[in-house]
Amino acid sequence: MRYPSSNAPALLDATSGQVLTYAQLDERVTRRTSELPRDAGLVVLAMEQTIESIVDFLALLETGQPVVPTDPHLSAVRLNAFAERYAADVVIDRRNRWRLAWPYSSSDPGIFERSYGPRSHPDLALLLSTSGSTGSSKLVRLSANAIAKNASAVGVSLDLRPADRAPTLLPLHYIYGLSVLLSHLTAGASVLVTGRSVIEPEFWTDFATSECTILNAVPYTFHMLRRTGFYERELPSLRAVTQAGGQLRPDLMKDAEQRLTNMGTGLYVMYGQTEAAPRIACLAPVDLRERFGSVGRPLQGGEVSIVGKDGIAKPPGEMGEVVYSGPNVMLGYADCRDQLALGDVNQGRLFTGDLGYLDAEGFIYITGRLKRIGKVFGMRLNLDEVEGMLPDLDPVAVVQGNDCVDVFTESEGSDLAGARMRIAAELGLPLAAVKVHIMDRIPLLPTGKPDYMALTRGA
Amino acid sequence: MSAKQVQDVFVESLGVAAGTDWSGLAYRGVEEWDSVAHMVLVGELEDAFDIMIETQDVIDMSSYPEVLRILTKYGVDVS
Repeated sequence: MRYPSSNAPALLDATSGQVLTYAQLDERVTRRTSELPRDAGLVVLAMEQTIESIVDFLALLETGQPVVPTDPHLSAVRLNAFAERYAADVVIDRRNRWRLAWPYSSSDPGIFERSYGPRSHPDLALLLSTSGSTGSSKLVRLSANAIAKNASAVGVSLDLRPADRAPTLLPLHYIYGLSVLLSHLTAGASVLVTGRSVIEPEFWTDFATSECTILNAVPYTFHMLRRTGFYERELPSLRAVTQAGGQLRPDLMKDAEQRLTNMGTGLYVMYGQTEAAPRIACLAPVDLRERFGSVGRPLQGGEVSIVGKDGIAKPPGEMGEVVYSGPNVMLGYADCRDQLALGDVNQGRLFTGDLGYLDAEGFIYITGRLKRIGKVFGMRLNLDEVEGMLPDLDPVAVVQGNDCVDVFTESEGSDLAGARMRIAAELGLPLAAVKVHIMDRIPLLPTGKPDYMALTRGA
Repeated sequence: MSAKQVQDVFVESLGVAAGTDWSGLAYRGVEEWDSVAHMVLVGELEDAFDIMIETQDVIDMSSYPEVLRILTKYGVDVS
């Protein structure tokens, strides 16, 4: 990562009020590189919403040691299992919550090492789990170049300037949160470092006092914003809200767009995947009304095509798999330590697994997910579309069951029997092939998306 | 109606243990009570007591004692 070296603010600590300029951040990172181990093939970093964690992260990038940032709230059992599975050479856990056992030993408070495994590929810089949880099997391998190119392209799409400032609302171990940090630093803008959520009044006091201009949201954030009086707040410095991390329901998007417009704030809809470090496309506020439902056009340096099952590109308007090409595409996946030595498998091309189409001007519309296709009694079902057919049951999650679709909902009050009969009829399925389960709470991944794996297991 | 019912909602929606230290239970004080869980909790309290909790109160419900105090305003008997 190269960022401008100047006396402009880079990081502001919401708790202490401390401000780090770019020059001071650079100094901190340089000092930290001399304290950290060298030549580790894999470093696990408990990534907190603190300046210390950000410095650790930047120092690891600087020294070219591949890092997996993880949820600091992860249980010790799960972290140990993860470190074991990928045979991490170094674990940085400043608060020693994970009580790492042999083969790790502590060389420095908070830094745990074991005898180093094989060298990783020289281009490898960052690894992230596809689902946002370390329990899942695969890691995405990203190069320093992919991260830098995407951070800069995001800055262009949002028109980030040095006066811009965003709070670390999203977890920094989550690619969207990390992307906010890196895109702002690349643009010479600044970041308010906070661990608070939009439902806390202190978050908004800090936001207003430090004159933040950007708020980065996932779909669930909009529900919180609405319930906690966000749209009635006086936030003169706020110029833009970004939405990514999954598709926002059209009615909620319309509502958000109208309310934000009234506040004089633009809504940027973004689309991406961890596999693309992570941004692929962005829809600017100026296009939102006319292209409602689109996720915008590819970011600078990227290209999107729609490809059919035969591998041939489709003309505008026709549905197929969204295929992205660009400098930010991952090197590939890894599911064990040995695979960290692999080079560029993807070669700049990513089959997203998302279904969609392009309009004549190249705007992308996402309609579903290839991999969330179920098969019941030999019939193919798009599970995301089935969810879309049940707006009155929202929040709702649909997974493939044993020759049935399992519908999970939290809304006890609605007409469940009626909804069940209706979707069975619409899908052409026997009633018994649609099972409805009421849950107190649909389990969510740290990304805010339903934990389909847990639902499948529990059904 | 009683504080026990409110506690049941906490147990059901946050997954905190029934034998928890209720007087000390606060938002972000335990792992289970994060911002997403808070919104779930508010929804569950509304359903359980058939009330609509106002914006400011959603924000102010930052601890178990505060939740009890606010629910009283909505006519919920928490004795």
